[in-house]
Amino acid sequence: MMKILVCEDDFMMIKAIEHKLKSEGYSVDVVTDGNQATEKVREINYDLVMTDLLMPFVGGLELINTIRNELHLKMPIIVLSRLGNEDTIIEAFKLGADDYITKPFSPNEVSIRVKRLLIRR
Amino acid sequence: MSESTESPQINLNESYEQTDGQYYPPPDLTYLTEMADGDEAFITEIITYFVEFTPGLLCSMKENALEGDFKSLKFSAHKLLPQLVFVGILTAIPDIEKIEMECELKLDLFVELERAIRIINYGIKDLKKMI
Repeated sequence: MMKILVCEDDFMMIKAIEHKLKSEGYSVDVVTDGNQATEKVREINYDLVMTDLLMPFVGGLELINTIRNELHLKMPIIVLSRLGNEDTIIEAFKLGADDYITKPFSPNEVSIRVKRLLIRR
Repeated sequence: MSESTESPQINLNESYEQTDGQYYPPPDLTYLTEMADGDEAFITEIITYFVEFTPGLLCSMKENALEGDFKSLKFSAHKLLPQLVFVGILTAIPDIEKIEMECELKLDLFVELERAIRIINYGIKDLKKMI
C-alpha cells in the first residue's frame, strides 16, 4: 500500500484530503506542523509528500528544502497552496516540488495528481 | 429546515430570517457533498467543526482589527477562506478576500469585516439546522 504524508494544519483540509486518499486505498499519515513533518520523513520512507506552504514552526518551503537538499529523498512532493501564492509556488518548484494543488481543490484533482506522480515512480 | 435522515438538503424556497434588510442565501453544500462522495458522517464532521470553531475565529478577527494586528487578521482570513468554500457560505468570500489582500495596507476594513461576520453567522445558523 502506498504511503502518503500530508503536512497541513487546517482541520477541514486534513479531513478532505485524508477522506479522498484513504478512499482510494492509500495509507495516510498526517502532521500539522513542519517540525513533525521533518521528523516523519526522516523515519519513514513515504511514497509521496503533500504539504501546505504555511505551517507552524517549519514552513512548506523549508520542508521541501530539507527533503531534497539535506535528506536527498526523491519521493514526489505536491504543494498545497491558495491562489495568489505564485511566487512561493515557483520557489517551491525551484527547491524540488513536483506539482501543486490550489486550495480549495477538487477531490478528483487530488486523485489524478497523486496517481500521476506515483505512476512515474 | 425539514428534518431528514438523508444528506443535508437546502430548501431554496425557504424564507430566510434576517434583521438587516438583506437577503443572504443559505449555505450551498454542493462542494462539500461532492467531497463527501456519499459519506454523510464526513459532511456532519465538517459542518460540526465549522459551527463550533468559527465563532471564536470571528471574534479574534474583530479583536485583531480593533487592535491593529493586521498580520493576525490576514492569517485568520487566509485560513477562513477555504473553509467558507467547504461549507458553502460563498457570499462572505469577497469581503474576506478583500480583508486578506488589503489589511496589511492598514485600510479601514471594518465595513467588510462586519458584513462578512454577519453573513457567516447567518450561515452558521443554517448549518446548525443540518446537524
